[in-house]
Amino acid sequence: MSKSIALIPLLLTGCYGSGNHYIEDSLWNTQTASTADATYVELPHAGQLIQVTETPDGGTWSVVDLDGAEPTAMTVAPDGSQVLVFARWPECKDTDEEILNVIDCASEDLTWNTELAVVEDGKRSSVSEIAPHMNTVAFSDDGTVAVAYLDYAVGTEVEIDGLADLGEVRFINLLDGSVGSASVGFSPSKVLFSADGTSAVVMSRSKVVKVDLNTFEKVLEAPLTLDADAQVDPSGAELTPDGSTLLITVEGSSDLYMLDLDTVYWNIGALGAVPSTLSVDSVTDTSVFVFANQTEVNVLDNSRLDIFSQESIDSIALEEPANSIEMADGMALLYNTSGTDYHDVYRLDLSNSDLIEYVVSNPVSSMRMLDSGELAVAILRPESSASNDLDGYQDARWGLAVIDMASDEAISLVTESEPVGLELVEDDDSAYALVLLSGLDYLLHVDLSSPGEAEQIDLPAPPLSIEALPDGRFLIAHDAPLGLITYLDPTDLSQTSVSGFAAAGLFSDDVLPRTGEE
Amino acid sequence: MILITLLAGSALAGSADGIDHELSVELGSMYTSDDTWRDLFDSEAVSAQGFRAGYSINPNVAVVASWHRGAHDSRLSFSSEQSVNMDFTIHQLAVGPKVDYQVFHWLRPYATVQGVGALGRIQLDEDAQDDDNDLLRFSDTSFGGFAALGAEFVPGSESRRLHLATHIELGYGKVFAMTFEDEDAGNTPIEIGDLDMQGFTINAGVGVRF
Repeated sequence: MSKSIALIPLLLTGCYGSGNHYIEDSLWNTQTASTADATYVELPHAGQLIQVTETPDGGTWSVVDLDGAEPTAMTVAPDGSQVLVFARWPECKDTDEEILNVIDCASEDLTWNTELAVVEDGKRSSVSEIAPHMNTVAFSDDGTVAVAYLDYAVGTEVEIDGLADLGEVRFINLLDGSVGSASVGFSPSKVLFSADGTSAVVMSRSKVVKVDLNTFEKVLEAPLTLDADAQVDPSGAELTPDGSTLLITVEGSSDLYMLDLDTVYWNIGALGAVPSTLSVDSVTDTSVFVFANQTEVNVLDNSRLDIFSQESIDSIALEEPANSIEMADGMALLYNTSGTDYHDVYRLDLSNSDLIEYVVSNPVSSMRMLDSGELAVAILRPESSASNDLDGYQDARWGLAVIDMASDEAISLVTESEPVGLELVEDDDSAYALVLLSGLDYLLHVDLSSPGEAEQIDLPAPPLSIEALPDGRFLIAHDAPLGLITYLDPTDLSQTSVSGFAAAGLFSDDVLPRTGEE
Repeated sequence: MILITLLAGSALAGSADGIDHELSVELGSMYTSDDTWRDLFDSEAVSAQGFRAGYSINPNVAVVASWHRGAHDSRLSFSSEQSVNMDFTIHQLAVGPKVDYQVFHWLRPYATVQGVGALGRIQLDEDAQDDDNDLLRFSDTSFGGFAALGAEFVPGSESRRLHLATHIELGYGKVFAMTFEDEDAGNTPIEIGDLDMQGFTINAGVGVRF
C-alpha cells in the first residue's frame, strides 16, 4: 500500500508535450520589394518588415525599424532606391500605464493609425500620415513624386476612421519629403503624369483634376458631364505623347472623351462600340482601341483630335475580338484574355495599318513582349475540348506560345503544370524566357530562337513568383513557410538562396508602440 | 518568513538518524503566462523530466540540486496549408536549500527556494520528412528561481538505512526573458524574439534516501 502511494505524484503531473496550432497569418508575404541593394519582406504574423541582404555565403536579414508600425503593403520607387511602405500602428485610448501590449487594450479603446513610410538603405527615411483607406501608389515618370489614393478596384477592405474623404489623393515628394493633398472627386481611378513631370492628372467619377506637382494645388477641374445626376466612371485614360490632350474612355459608353489640357476644351467622339482598353504610341502619335464584343481595332490619329470625326478613325477588321494590347514602338500586339474560344493574336503595324494574324493553340492568359518588340511570349490556359486526340490533349493543358514578329511565326508549347511566373531577358544577340511552373522545383530557361529546347534549371524548392531586380537579375520567391528566396543571374544562371528569414519576429510581442508621445 | 524561521531554528541541529542523502527522478510542469507562448503553443505548460539530489546539512535543512529537461513541440499550420514543426526545449539547473519538518516518520513537509540557470532552444523545420531541409536553431541562456512547498513521503520502517521516498511540490517560478538568437549566424546573431516563463510549477519524484 505504502509503495503504491509513491506513484501518485507521477500520475498527477501528467505530460503536455505536443500539439497542433493554427496561425491565421502566414509568416511572410511572397510579394517582396527589391531595391538595388536589398530585398524587403513583410512578415504578417510578426507585424514586421525585414531587409534581406545577399552575402557571399547566402544572406542575412535585419528588422527595419518602423517605430512600432506593421507593414500592410509596399511598392518600390521607379529608380529602385526606395520602398514605400503602407503601415499601421495601434493606439490604446486607455492610458493606463499597466496596458503595455495590444492584447491588454480593450477592443473599444484600440484604434489603428495609418501612415506611408519611405524606407531607404534599411531605414525609415520619412513618414507621412495617410488616411486608412488609401491602398494604391502611383509614381511620376521620373520617380520623384508618389501619389497615394484609394483605388476601389483593388478590392481591399475600405477602413474608415471617423470621417473620410474617399476622393483625397496624397502627394509625397520623395526628394525633399514634402507632402500635400487634394480632393479630386469621388473614387479616383487613375493618375497620369505629364511628360515634363510638373503636373498630374487624376481621373475620378465624372471629373478630371489636374494638380501642380510643385505646389500640390489643383490647377484645373473639368467635369465629365454637365448633368449632376449622371455618373460617368472612366474605364481607361491616356495622355497623348505631347501631353496636351487627355483621352478618356468611360464605363459602358462608346464615346471617347478628349480634354485639351491647355484650353480646357472637351471634345467627345463616337468609337462605335464600348472599348475594352486603349493605348497610345508615341512613334506614330496614334491611339489604339480594342473591343471585347467587336471584331475590329480602331486606330486614331492624335494629331487630328480637334477635328474628330469618323474619318479620324482607321477601323481594321479582325477575325476575333481582342480586349488587350501590348505596345512597342510603332506596333501593337492585340489579343483576347476573356473568351473561351479565342486563339488569335494580331500584330498591327501602326505606320501602315498592316495586320498579321497569329494563331496559338489555347486561349491567352497573359502576354509579355520584349522591349524591342521582336518577340512575345504568351501563357496559354486550358480550354474545354470534346476531342480525344492530340488537339484535345493540348487543349486540356497549360502552355506557352512564342511569337516571333520577325519571321511571323507562332509556336505553341505544352507545359508540365501551370506557369506561375514569366520574365523575358534580352541581350544583343539572344533572348530568353524564364518560366516558373507551379509545384515544380525547376526553372525553364527557354531560348526564344529555339523554344522547344528549353533547359531545366534546378531550384531549391517549388517557386511561386519571379520578378526583375533593378540590377538585371531576378528574384524568385519559393513555397517555403519559413522563407526562401533565390537570386538568379540570367547571364550565367548562377543562384544564391536566402532562407529562414520568416522566423524573424516569431516570438515578438505585440507591444503598444509610441506610448507616452504627445 | 516561515522559511527563514525554520532555517534559523534548525541551523545548529545535527543529523539524528544518519540518513542525509536523497536521490530522485522527477516529473514536472512549469506553466507560463507569456502571450507569445500562448500564441504559438496549444498548452500553457512545459513538461519536464530530470533528477534531484540532496544532502542534509542538519536534520531539517538540506541542500538540493536538480536538472530538468523540459520539452514541447508544436506543429504550426497556416492558412496557406503549409506547416512548420517547432520544438522547444529548456534545460534548467536549480540549486537551493530545502527545509523540512518531520510530522510522522513517513511524512516530511518542506519548503524550498532555489535559483535556476536555464538554457532554452527552439528548432524550426519546414518538413520533418525532408532531410535536405535546413533546420533553424535559436537559443539563449537565462536565470531565474522558484519557491515551492512540498511534502515527502518515506514509507517503511524507520530503522532501515535505505528508504524508498517520493515527493510532490507546488510553487511559483520565473525564468527571465530568453532572447532567442540564431545559433548558426556567426558574428551577426539574428533574433526571433523572446520568451518570458513565469507561473506555477509542479514537481513530483520518486527515489531513495540513504
